[in-house]
Amino acid sequence: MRDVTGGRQGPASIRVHDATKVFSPGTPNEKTALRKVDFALEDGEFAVVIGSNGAGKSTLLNALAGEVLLDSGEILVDGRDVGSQPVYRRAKLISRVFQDPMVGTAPELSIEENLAVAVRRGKRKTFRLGLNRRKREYFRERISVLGLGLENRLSEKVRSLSGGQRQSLALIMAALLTPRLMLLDEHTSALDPRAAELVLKLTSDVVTGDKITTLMVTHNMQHALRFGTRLFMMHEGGIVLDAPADEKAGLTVNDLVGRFLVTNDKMLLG
Amino acid sequence: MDFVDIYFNLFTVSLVQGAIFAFPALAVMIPFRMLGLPDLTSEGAFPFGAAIVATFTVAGFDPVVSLSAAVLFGFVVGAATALIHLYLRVPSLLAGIIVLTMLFSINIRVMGKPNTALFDNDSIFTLTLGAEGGEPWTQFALILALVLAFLAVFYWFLNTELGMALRCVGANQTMSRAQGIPTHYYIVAGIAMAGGFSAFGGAVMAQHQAYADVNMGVGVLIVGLAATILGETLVGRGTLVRQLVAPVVGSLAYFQVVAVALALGLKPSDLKLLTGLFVLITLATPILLRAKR
Repeated sequence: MRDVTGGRQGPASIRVHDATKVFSPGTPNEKTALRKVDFALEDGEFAVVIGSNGAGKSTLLNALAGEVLLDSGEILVDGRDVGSQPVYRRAKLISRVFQDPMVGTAPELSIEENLAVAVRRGKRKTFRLGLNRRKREYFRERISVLGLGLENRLSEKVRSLSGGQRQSLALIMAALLTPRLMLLDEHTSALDPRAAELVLKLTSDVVTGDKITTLMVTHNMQHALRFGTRLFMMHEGGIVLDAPADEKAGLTVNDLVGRFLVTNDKMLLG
Repeated sequence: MDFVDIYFNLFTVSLVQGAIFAFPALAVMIPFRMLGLPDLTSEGAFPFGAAIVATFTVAGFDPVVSLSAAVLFGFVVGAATALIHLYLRVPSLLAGIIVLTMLFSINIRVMGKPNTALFDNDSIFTLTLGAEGGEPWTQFALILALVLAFLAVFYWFLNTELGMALRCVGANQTMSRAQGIPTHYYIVAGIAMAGGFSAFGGAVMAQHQAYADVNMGVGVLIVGLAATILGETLVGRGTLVRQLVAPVVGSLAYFQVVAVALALGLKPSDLKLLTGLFVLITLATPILLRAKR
């Protein structure tokens, strides 16, 4: 069996091995979005990914989710390569909160129906009723941790919720069945600062509370420093900084900006 | 006085028509509203259902078996449209047009001729309402009971795990896939169900008029659309029940409006123009109002 621990302590539930993706190969628009990206995440690790536009953050996330298929390399979940599986099959192991609050929930379905769909994520659907009293009780309990009063609005359509409420709901949905990996795609960037702060705090609670292995992409360097147990900085499709928890704790925004400039200078000089 | 007389004569007949057209109206609503994927197959599935029921009946099958066969074949043509759309990447509207065009030839092949008379054959009407097939009132009651039975089963289905996933696919495909729902299968199933509804409507129509004709599908789609829109105006579509009931109420109301128009002296051949204008105005009003602001 291959070494899937990535040379670290503890079991690595997620391993990305030499992931490479080139868009529009052989054309003037050719773009290498991922360049032999290689890392492993331990169980319960909360990794934050930062990097400038076009650094490959989104492609990495989409490759993990299955929206983008790699040209070469592997994506291993508990040692099993899921790299060729379509999105809906990977959803059994990997859940996701999207950047756009409109994308992560079904507006025409009620809050409880959205949760009912999420509680069957990646499972075979049956002719049993999607909702019953027990499920409603469970959803009420799970969603009450948000403190948004949504537990009293379970039968309302999600259409009527604000962006922040939707993202909070999407987060609960992504964690409802504990995934092997949760992907957060700049999930607070479309929210106003207050809602963003709330959703981030909730994210931290959910991730640490349920010990969910998480990969969060963000543009906000302060968020990147405040949250997570590991920090990746991406540039030109590769990981240029991989800071474990202790090193990350000592970093400041200025350090990160400095690293950004250095990588940019390198690029200019190169 | 003339108007009242004519309308009174048309009233019950129009109720029967409205109840029968509730099926193709549902077949228009399901892809249009629940799947967010406009589909024209019902225009072809309707006469196809009639052709199937006629052929099965003439071959000596029981009326109920013949109706079931029509539903089954309706599923198949619906699924065909969805598969053409999903796997051959043909836009859904064009896929529907291709299927309904091909169905015209198939319908003639199925019946062996462009139309089939069923005057001497049993139907669900002769089975339940006596040898004469009942009066308009009793026919209406029978068809409405069928509509409500179908709706009840469909409503139950939409609340199962499978049905919820289907509605989820209609509301948000990206999210559905991220939730592990293979959206393609559900779209095929949804459009297939619509095909089944429309074929059933055509089959009931053929049994009711004891006659199946390849041309009986002409305009079904626009009537279904008008019924859906009219019904939504009358009962709204804020809840699942309302969304399901709207095409039925709309279809009943539509044929009453038609009866009034006929009683006022309009020619039946004018109806398609008026229906088209009605749909156009309903669709355009919100856009024109927005443009004004």
